[in-house]
Amino acid sequence: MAAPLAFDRRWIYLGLGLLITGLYAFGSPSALPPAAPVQEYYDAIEALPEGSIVLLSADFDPASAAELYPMFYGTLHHLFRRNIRVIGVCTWPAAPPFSREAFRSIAPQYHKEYGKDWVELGFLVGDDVAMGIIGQSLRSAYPNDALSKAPYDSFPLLRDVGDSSRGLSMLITISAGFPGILEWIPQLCTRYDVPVLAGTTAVQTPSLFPYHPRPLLGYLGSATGATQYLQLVAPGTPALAPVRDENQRRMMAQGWGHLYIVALIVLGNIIYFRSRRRAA
Amino acid sequence: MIDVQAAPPFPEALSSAAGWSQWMDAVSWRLAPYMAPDKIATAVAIVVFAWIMFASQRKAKRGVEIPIRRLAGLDALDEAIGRATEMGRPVLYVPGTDEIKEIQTIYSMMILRHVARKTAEYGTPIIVPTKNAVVMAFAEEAVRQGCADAGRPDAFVADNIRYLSDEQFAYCAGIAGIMYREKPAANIYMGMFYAEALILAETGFLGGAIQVAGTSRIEQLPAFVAACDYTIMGEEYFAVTAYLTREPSLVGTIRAGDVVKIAAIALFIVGTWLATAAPAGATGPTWSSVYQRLFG
Amino acid sequence: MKREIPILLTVICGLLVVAAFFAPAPDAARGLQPSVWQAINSELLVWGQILVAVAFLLGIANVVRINLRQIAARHEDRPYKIVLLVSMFAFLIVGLAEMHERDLPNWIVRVLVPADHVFMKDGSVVAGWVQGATQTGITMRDGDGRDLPEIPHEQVELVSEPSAKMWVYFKIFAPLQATMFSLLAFYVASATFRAFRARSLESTLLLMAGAVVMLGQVPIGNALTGGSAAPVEAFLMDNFVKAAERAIAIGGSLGVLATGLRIVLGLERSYLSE
Repeated sequence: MAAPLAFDRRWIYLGLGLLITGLYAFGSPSALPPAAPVQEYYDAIEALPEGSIVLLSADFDPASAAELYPMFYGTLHHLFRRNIRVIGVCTWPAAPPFSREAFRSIAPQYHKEYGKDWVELGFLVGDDVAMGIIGQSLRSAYPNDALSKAPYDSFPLLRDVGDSSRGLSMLITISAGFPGILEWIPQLCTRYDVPVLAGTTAVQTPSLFPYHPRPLLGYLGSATGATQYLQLVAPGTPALAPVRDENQRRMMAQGWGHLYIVALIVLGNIIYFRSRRRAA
Repeated sequence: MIDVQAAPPFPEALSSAAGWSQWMDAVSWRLAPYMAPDKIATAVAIVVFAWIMFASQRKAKRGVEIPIRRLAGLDALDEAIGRATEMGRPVLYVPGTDEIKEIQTIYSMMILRHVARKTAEYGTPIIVPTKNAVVMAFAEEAVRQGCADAGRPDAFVADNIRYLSDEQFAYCAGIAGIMYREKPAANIYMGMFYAEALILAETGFLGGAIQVAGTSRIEQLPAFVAACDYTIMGEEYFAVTAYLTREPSLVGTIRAGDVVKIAAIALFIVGTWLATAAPAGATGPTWSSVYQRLFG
Repeated sequence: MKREIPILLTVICGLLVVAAFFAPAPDAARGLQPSVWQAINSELLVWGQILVAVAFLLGIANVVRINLRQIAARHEDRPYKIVLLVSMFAFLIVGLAEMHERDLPNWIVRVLVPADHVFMKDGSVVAGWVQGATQTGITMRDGDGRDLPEIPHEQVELVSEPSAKMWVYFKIFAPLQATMFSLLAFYVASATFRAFRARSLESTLLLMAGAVVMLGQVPIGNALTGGSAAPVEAFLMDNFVKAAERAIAIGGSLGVLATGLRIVLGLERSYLSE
């Protein structure tokens, strides 16, 4: 059984709160060297031919948006910069506002035309069942788009996809849990041979290991991965520089947070061994 | 990857194939109209697994003893319920945050029935908050059946099976509220959990309850291990009902899983050895490439 | 029959989905058409989707039923339950009104949907409700439902379309969810302080691995350890963690496969309370 705390736990919370907020408010950004899966994520998008069609799925909610929305934002910038055509979908009911916000703010910067360069299909109810339907036929899953409610075939981009998801060059999912990357893989990627990239929260990142490097070509794990990726994408995209700096500042604060927790482990063990010696 | 788009570049008669690789290509091509050739290995694996499972079940039904090692977390369930009875406080059972279609939730309902039987025998209230209306209906039925199993159908209190919210953190906050107000002496978490796992477990610890958790969800195991007294991990969770009930079909299923795992380990060892021993730069079929084609 | 019909339905639907998984893929070059199994699977997927959607409605109905009952019974948390129901229906009504703005009577639109504003390049502002955009301009309606003259795109500086639904989402719902999620950081701190004690060899290895991974993942931690934490962390994650994740995933999948087989073959009946 875990031992009770030697003192009021609120001191621990206060210390952590002051440390993180203080460093975030007054600290300066620090750069991170990119991890191999992050570099693979970036390279996979760079390797896509211009005009390829990518399915970009927002599978998160406000709880995990702090970690995942920078990934989504940076990925959309990267895709539009590379002249990749993007279809936006969501399998979480709370995700569409984030997806819409990103598309609406980023698409005009690259003069992308709705219907030809990007389409927003919106939220599809059904969790992994919905993913199965998308995999089998995007047209059956979405008879209309989310913005204008126009029929599927009225968009040149969707006509180019055709009926099957084999018309997709890649799936990119930014996912916080269920349904997410672990459901996309069996429902779409391995079934229809669609390569996949993923961005996930820190706690879900180890679950991606069995699927990497095939079919998962690369992934962004946690806010660290998001920051490393933004560092790779920002040089060619001035609009991303403030987002990158913001994330670097967060990572600096988070780094000290990690040190704080390691210090707590050490302190906890010191208290434990001293009390054991006293008891002996 | 087997190419079934093009016809093999030789006469269709299998006997005229030039080697292993061409022969397998031809077989795949001929099977393609009836079954997806790249899923044959999967189909064979499922059939073999099912055969082992049914054979194990028959063996268990014949009375052959199939041992299952002691799971400390399950023995702790009785201890937890006993402690709650002594303290005169309720037991809190959280069946996870996923829907009934999730296998772990189905298992959780089976465990809930066992726990409800125990609490009914001891006369201890059991509170079951759920995140989903359908799960609430199943939980009601499980608790009702558990009370009936104990011969105490009057012990069933419908108001203790509570549907809180479909929203993850609202559900979590609701359970924290129950912990603060009703101060359960034992918290049991069985099922699929997500980010709320640590919040629940830590809040429960701060309330002084004994906590037993069980989940196959890898990401949340560290949270439960850190904050709970006993944790049932990974595939142990699926062995729980077999351990509790000793029902032959469930015990047989566990044995089948173990046999398949041993077979999988053997396949890994053989495949690793073949891949390591394969001559570098070989152009023709090797044992390694055939092995990869069969199992890759 | 009360027991047999659900079992029969389960077996039939389960076997159909499995058959669709193994069904041959269409191949235009060989003249292989999509099989009937795929068509059946598509239909079952749509049925499944409908059931999930119905679960949302069921959830709403249950929230209303249970909370109304407790309000009527003068439960001590009655005020919170009233707030829950009022806020749920208010958000539902506002959201539905915005979705169907064009089809609703004007007086409802005026009350429930905030007016849009088009800021013109000449400094003037046109207020109304944007109906859509054509190739040439923006179409709007005024508060009485009358169509306003189309505003050419070249005269428009900015279009502001406020949404009460989005305001509630971004100003209330999102911060509340983020707040609850951020509690995890504090609970991680107190849990690690309590739980990571070197009581045995295994717990010592656990806490050392945890400390190394935490240090290796951040530049300052790596710098403090002279650059050794990051390679050790990468080694641990790429070898031990990857192997363990795969092993647990395989073990868990076998458990799911066994239970799934039992359910599809009608042998597992716990969902019928048997």
